[in-house]
Amino acid sequence: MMPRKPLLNTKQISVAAVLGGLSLITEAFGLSLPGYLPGVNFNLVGAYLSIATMAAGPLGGIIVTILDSFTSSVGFYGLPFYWPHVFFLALFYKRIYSMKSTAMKVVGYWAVTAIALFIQYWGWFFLYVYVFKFATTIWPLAVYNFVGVIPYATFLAIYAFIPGFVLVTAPNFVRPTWNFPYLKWVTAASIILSAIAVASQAGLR
Amino acid sequence: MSSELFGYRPLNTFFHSLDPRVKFAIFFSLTLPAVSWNDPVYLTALLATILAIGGIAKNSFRTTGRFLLYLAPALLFLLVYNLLFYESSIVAARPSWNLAFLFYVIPVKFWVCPCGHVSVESLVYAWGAMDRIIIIVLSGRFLLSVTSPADLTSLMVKLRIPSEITTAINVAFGFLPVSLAQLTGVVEAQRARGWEAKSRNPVTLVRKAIPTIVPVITRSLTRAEFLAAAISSRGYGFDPKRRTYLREIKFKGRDWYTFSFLIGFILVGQAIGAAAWGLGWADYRFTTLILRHLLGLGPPCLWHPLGSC
Repeated sequence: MMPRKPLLNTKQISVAAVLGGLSLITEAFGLSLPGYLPGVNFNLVGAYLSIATMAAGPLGGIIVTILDSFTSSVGFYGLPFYWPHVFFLALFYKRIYSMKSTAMKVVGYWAVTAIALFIQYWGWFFLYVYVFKFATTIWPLAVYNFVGVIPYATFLAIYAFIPGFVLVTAPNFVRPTWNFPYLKWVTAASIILSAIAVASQAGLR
Repeated sequence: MSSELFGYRPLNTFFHSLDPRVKFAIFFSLTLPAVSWNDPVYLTALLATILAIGGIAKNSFRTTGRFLLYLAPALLFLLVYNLLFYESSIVAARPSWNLAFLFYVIPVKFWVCPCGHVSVESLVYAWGAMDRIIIIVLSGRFLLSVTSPADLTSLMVKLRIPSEITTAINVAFGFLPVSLAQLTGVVEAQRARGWEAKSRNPVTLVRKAIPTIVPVITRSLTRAEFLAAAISSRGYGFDPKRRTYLREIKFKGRDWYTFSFLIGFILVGQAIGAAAWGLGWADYRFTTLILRHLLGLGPPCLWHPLGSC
């Protein structure tokens, strides 16, 4: 019997472990940017999970989110709501990496991250409305985050600025040597599930 | 060190001795009802249960208090938000009777104000929402306070999570002291240079955070390269499907008893919830009816089905 091929090589494991560990510590010590809501801060997990996804693929990003959830105030319930972002970024990352022009790479990376973050947000709205029952509909949160611009822009900067910097300055480190089976379908499924979840909370109850 | 970050203390209590799968089952048995139940009377009873089992597990009440203090701004926001917007946003969860007005949050006559119509019903709704957050956060803390990082990875192995993921998580736990020293080193070095990440402008805020985040991440990337070499040199990657483990977890008698009790707890909880729906006491109505009765605000038909008075 042939031994199975490892899902991650040693470099990918260590990248996910180091960045996930940093994310866990950052959450545990409350090292975040204040100002999202009173008592709720902008956490920095986005920077770590983006780099891990770039260097180790979707599994790397998922490992970072698992480690982060150990000390996150939202706990394990927040875990799957990062994944649409991870899959979406991974789906387009190889194409972005292979672009010749650095400027196009950066623009492409920011654009894909902006869309991935927009998709991710709706899952989080579901979490806050259905699980935590912060409000009875997603719309106040949607208005605050998207019409208010500042929350979305700050999170976008967290998710894209430093990973984009790493992409330009250390391209060998984030070379996408990983493979993830059925990535297109997994991404589509995660987006559809998010859409169904959020649609269930879109009406007034 | 990683244990301290989680709040785990290696004590010899009943909850510490349970199988990690049962500890996770406890976590879900406490948080799933918190998600499915709404009425503050049930939620407060659940919260009291969490505090009691935390006490049995010798969790310090001071630490619990510190967590609640940490949550206080978010809870206050939740309270004010729900008091201000209850009337305009809560439709189906609102009882069929007229709201029992107490006072306005902003009583001054100005533009659209007086506004923030506070009623017994809105207070009860906000109380339930706050209870839920506290329950979910404290259950998570309880789980981590009785479960060691080693147990967590053993649990993942038992759940047949691929060894690459459990290895990464294990390495991360083992590496936490190094990562922590690195992070505090960078933060302290930058603080010594007068660094401070405070600003109302988000762009300035992100810009100010960069001198700390960039060295932390670049050092991590270098460290990851060394770590990968260390893992490779130990022969990692040979037939990951047939790995062996130094320590494996097994269900014992007390685990089975506790697990059966948790199943019973969830079933009885759901049965009570269903009965409450049948009697028209679900969805905040039970506490509201009791409070209105105590305050003499009516409706007097506390035991009337569907509470329609």
